[in-house]
Amino acid sequence: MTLPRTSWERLNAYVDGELGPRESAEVAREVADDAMVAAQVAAIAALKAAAVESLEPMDPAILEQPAAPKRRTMTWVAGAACAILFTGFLAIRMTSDVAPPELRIAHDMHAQWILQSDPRVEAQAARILETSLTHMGLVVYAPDLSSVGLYFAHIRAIPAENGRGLHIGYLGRRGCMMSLVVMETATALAPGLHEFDDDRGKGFTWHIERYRYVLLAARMDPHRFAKVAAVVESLTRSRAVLSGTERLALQRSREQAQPCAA
Amino acid sequence: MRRRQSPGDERLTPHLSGLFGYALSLCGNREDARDLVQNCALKAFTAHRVPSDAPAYRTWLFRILRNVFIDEVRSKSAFALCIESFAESQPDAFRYEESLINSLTLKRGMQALSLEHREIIGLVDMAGFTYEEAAQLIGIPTGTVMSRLSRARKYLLRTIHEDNVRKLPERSKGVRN
Repeated sequence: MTLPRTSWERLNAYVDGELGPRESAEVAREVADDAMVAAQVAAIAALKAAAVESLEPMDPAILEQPAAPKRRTMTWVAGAACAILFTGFLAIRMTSDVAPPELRIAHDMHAQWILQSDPRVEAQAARILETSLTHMGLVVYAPDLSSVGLYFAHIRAIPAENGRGLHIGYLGRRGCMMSLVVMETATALAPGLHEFDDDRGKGFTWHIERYRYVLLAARMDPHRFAKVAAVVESLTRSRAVLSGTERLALQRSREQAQPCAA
Repeated sequence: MRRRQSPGDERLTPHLSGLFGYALSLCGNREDARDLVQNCALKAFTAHRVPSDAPAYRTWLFRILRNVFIDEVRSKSAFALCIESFAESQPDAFRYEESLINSLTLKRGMQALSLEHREIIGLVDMAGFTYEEAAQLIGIPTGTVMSRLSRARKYLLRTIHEDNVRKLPERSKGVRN
């Protein structure tokens, strides 16, 4: 297969109408003479057309609720949400009856992930998660937290010798790395959210049906972490998506917290 | 209470879709993009000096949006997370199928691009800026816009191709359905 005579950059400029008349005519001749060049030009043009097509009409009503005033008018809602979450936080039990194997596995998975040299959001993470759940037959639920700045970034099965389970990594834009580790276990735990603090760090754990959930976060502000844990526990239990109130409260706690990378 | 429409709204409204497309290319998700456009609109409405001619006004709006975005992420690690997704390589054999390119595959492909590549596609392809206008807005040479855009499209085409092309199972010879 022959390489095109015309450079890729020049073809892009041609499609974008950025070439002068003489250069443009030269490229047009090459397009007419060479099927490969013509195919490249067609692909670039198709990309441009798809980009325009992907534009969504924006409702001008958005201008009637600029972001900052909206936050002010919603302050009481956020405050109420914080109060609810704070009440929930008070209900968290400090626990020492958490089965150690699950915590060890969760700590191991979390540590392996944060030691990676180049953690990044995997574009297909949400899809991988869905596939993993289907493939492994696990009936667990990992909430989408992207609207509060935590993105699916890492999905791995836990090592087989530890049973069946998944490690789901959420990555924040301010350096936060939060792990949700879900494992099948026969060891039940009292209902509710349990906070633990062992020699490898603080975290939260809870039990739903036959699954143990463990939440760990590196360097996340403790108050924010507690609020996130309360919401994640609630969402995994109800299999719901973030409500507007929860979202507001978590956004608010995020704004008030120090960045994890700080 | 509904805010009365001001002359500023009338000037800004035609650019909303372009702004949202650009914001989406920067943020990667609709919620943040919407907030970004709202913050941009708020700053535009409260600005003391507003360009009078239309092209300058459009560039000014998009620059506001870009600055708001940069302000929001400057202290964060978002930029660090969005470094080149693919190793640099020369295009070898051209193997992209035009039929695979549509708005859906483009949106998915965009997610795999780096921030700077998403941004240049947002500006040139979605918002319709010329290379020179985009260069002025971002603050880079026009030649860099050209090379960055061509690389971005190359990566995008590759992503779309790799994400879509699946080998069909071979049919058994001699068997008729």
